[in-house]
Amino acid sequence: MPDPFPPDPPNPDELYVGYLPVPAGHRRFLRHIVPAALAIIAGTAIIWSHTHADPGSGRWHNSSKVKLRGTLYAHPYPMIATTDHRGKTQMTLLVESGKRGAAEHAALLDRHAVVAAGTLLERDGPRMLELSEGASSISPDSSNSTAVDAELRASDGQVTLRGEIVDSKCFLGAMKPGNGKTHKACATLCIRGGIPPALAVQEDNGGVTFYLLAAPDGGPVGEWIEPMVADSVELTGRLEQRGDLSILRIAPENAHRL
Amino acid sequence: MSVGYTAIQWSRHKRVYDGIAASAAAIWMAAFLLLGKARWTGSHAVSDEILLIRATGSCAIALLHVILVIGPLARLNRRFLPLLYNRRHLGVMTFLIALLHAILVTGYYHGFGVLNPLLSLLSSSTNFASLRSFPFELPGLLALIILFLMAATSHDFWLRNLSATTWKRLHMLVYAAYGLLIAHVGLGALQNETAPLAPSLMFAGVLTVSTLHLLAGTGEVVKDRGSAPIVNDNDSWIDVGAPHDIPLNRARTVCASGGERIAIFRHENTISAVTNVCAHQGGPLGEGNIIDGCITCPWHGWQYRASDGCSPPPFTEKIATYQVRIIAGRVQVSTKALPPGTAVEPARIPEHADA
Repeated sequence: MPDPFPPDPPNPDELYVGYLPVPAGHRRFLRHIVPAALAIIAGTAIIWSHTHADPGSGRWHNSSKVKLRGTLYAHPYPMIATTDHRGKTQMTLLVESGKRGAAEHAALLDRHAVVAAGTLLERDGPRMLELSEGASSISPDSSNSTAVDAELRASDGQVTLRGEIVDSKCFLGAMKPGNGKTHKACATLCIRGGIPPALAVQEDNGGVTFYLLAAPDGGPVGEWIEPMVADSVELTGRLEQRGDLSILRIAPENAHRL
Repeated sequence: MSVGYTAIQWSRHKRVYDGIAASAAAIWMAAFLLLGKARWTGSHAVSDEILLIRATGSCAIALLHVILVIGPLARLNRRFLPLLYNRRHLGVMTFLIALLHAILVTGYYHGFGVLNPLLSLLSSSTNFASLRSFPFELPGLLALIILFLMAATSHDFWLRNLSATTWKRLHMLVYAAYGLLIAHVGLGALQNETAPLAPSLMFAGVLTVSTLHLLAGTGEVVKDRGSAPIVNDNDSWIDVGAPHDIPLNRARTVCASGGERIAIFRHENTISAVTNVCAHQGGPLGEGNIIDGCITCPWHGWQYRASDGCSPPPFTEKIATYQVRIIAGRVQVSTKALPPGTAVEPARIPEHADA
């Protein structure tokens, strides 16, 4: 007597059991569905991988060590003033390896002629030198023939700028990208460790302008800035120039999250 | 089914399954790394470490989507059951890739600093009131802990020792992990995006998982309503239909008034009833078949004799049975579950019953 319930596809009398041979109907189905699933996975990965945004042009020349001769300025953050081949004063921020600033290392050499050794990071102008390990990475330049004058030049009045607070080391090329929400914790840790904070302002032409951030008294910015790192902010303060480096002096009450 | 514990009961199917799953993960990560490197080059290249962080993170969440759609797909069409059979290996693989992602992130973003990396991870932001500043690492960490608990207890040793109910509840936390991971990505990586592509992909994933679960859930509700039995004898017996309404070597599932599902099987010339819930992982026995004279669960092939709900020797698993009877050409099943493993005389189908 025929079964009153003829099998409708898939054949209900076929049951897949892991420890038994795969029924023919399931096998046919798997031959289609598995390649299709792999194709969907590969396609999704290819589409998703196109979401990588341009991380910027920061570069870390970490395979070639350089020596810079110039005048060290310890405030608001250690930096060395040198003269480029056109005779212009060029500022290079100084940091230690990892996520550590060089304030301690540089404090006794403020406004002294020094030789600093390390590896360069740069991004469209602003530069940084990660000092080599060891006490000899900055040493007084006994010849004193390389002193470079880079005194602060203040602008008139206040400026208001909108951008993202970044840690200068990652932003200049230690990490690519070195900004954004996923980098927030790293940037906070860097700034907590003494890496100079900066404001990255997106310009209409696609470029990014870099402003070092300092306290109103010209010293390092305080811990108040840490919760605002990686956020879009509006900062109002006094703009200064040391060599080719723009420095914005800001007070906590003039910093607002957008 | 097993009478002892081994680390993994390898079979050809499991090897093929794991091979395909590992290939899929490798394809995903290779596509991410190679295309990421090709997209931005020279001074604009993305850091290798960050590409690896993105590849592992996106791969883990993609695998979790696959894991979550297998269940409802198998309910909607049992040809997907082979994908369900070894799903726990996929879960362990997802956890390991997520763990690699977490290790890379902790080392790269939270290492080399003035704080212990774990302390940095937990203290980098405490602004829970702002979506923009929300510490997205926290939901990711909680999800990883859940995935760890699930991976660590995925073996049948834990299923047996925690009890099937506790184990099932623990593993249902996968939905909490999924929600936490969506929050982790939505409050983290997606906030870096200026183009709609990545948020659209994530939205499509959530929509697919939700829709398939709704469809499978709705199907269950409709099935329960469709099997609404006629109650008689003070609610203690329910009408299942004519004997031949039940397909041979398969079951018809009915839902008693208390919500308990009962699977009524027709085998040879008899009718037997057992709980619809497999003692292993709660699989729907009523969607299984009778193979070699035993009710066979469609999820992992656990077997029980229809006559007493006991697994055939040497196995010792037991499920609840129900009394059945045939009155006036209608199959009736008692609503009172008998203790697991209770022998019940199957109801014999009269020769003159309509077929």
